[in-house]
Amino acid sequence: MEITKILVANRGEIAVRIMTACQEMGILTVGVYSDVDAKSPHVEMADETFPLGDPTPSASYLNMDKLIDIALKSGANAIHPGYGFLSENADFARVCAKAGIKFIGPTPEVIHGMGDKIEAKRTMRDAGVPVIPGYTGEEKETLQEACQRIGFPVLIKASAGGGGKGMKIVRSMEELDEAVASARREAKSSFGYDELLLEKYLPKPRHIEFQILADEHGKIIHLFERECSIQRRHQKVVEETPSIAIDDELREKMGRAAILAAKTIDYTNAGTVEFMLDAERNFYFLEMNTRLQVEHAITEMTTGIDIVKWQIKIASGEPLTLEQEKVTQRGHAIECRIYAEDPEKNFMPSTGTLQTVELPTGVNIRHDTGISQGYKISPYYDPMMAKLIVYGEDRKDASRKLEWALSNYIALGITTNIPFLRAIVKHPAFVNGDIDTHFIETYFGSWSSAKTLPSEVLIAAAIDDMKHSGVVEGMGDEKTEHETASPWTTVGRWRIDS
Amino acid sequence: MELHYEHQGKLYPVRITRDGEAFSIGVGDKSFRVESKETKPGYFALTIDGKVTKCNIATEGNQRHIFINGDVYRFNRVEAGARPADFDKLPSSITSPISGKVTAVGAVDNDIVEAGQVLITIEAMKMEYQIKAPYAGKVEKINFKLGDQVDIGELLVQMEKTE
Repeated sequence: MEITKILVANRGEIAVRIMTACQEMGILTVGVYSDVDAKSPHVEMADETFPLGDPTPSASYLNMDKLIDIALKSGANAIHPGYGFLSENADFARVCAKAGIKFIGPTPEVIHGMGDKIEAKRTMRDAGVPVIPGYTGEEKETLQEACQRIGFPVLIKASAGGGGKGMKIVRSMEELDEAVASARREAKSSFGYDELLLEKYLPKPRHIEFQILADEHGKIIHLFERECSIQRRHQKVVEETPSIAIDDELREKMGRAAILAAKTIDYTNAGTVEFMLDAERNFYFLEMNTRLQVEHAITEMTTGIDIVKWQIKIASGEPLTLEQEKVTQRGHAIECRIYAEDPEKNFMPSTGTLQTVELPTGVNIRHDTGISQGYKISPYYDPMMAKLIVYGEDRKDASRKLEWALSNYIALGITTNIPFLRAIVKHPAFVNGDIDTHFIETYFGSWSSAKTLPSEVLIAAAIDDMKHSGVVEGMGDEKTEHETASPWTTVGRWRIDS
Repeated sequence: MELHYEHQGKLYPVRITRDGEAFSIGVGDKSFRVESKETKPGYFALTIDGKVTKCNIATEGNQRHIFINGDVYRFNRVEAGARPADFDKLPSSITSPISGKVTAVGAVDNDIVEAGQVLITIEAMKMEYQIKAPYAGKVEKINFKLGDQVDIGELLVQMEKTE
């Protein structure tokens, strides 16, 4: 089936990323937007756009009826779900098929099978893929008994979840009840389904995942690993490839396991097999993400393969022409996620208007974003603003480039995690590659960039304030000119005409 | 003119006067001669005692956001005569740091609570944020109930510290 027009059922940077691939391939794009996203870059980019109204996710980007309706109305013959929202929703994939629209991703059965983390582990264990000890609900024991058997610390997860939602670490029996209640609430509100599972919490695990590409004719290859050990509340923050924790022998072994996992479930399209790797080089299947990953870009940088384009080609029935032996990785790529959040206030999402944004540009610096200057960040969606991806000859080269890029990344008006990312990249443990999934809580448990204001900062502020006080322009009394203005009527640079 | 800034409870008075094409600026007991060029709105190249520093400024009411040498500083311009005590006194009122929905309430009016006890849980962007008691004390009033929508900056809890 030839795909001629794609509805991108997403927003932000990933919608822009997908539309770019479509444009390069000569495929028309349909964009959708909720009320608060009407002026977003992805809306400007699409060939046709349709409003989704109410910004509440369930009424907009999660609203299957509206999306299918728009696809039919616009004549789109495929839907790309991006990541998040409906990307791992088997019902949506089913509804698309029923409406005669190609869902760019695996089949509903596969999404369903892997979406249920309990079933996924059972399937993988039975197929011979190593799986971590845990509780899946079928063990005929209470959560308390399961904790006793597995041994603390224990990780609670939502069986339907992903992205850290509904996850809690429990270190003692006393903490169990409250953690279970909270996890159930998060799971219920995120996924509409509050079943939980438990697993052994490994002391110093690394998160290593393998990118898979599988066509609809039975061919499966992997595009090597990504290490995503730097996480906060189980949300990835910094990702890199290759991982310095694995050598070629282990890489091949894990790659084979990833392909076995995909083969076991007749996987199609792009997907990711996630593993935990312990200090003794044992690896365990964690879960499979049946969609495009946020961090796919680092794989693209080191392999030169455009994963989104392959998703579209595979969905249109084309055979995978890439050969495993011919896929190679060169150099080192690192991505960091730029979040609108305040690292000093327990990473609370920050909202507001992005007044100034000036991005670092240079050789091998990629910036995937869906926002621009003047953009208002609302509290409705994930606070990720952009992804900064760099590529270097080796890890050291890439890290230094990343540090440079972060130091030259100007985003004013909204509190971002950029200073925190800089601190991570400069940390000796990161520099040495001595990282695990507890990196942030170990080294940045109570991180604060608290500092006194340097003279340069005060000098800059004073000059700016004096210039705009009226004195310089000769507009009269300096005090009344500045101080009678309401703080909220003069916004940012727009008060200056130049 | 004299300008006053506040950052994390600390006051910074700055004296600035025109000195021909340049400025003479006093910070603390130090004095600097500064030339300034606004290359485009908000972008400054400052020559401070002969050394060039580039920075970027955004203003939002009294708030100043300044990007300099890779760091972002966020602080406030304040009135002359403001006292540090006005900024860092122990808060008796807890305001919401986030907009979202109340998914759990952990105390009722007049409860005696421990420091760190979860008072209200707010869900935003599908993540839960726990609002904890900043100190041991008495909950005077909880202003929200389960299911309520809360906006950033709204008063969540009125507390009184145990002496």
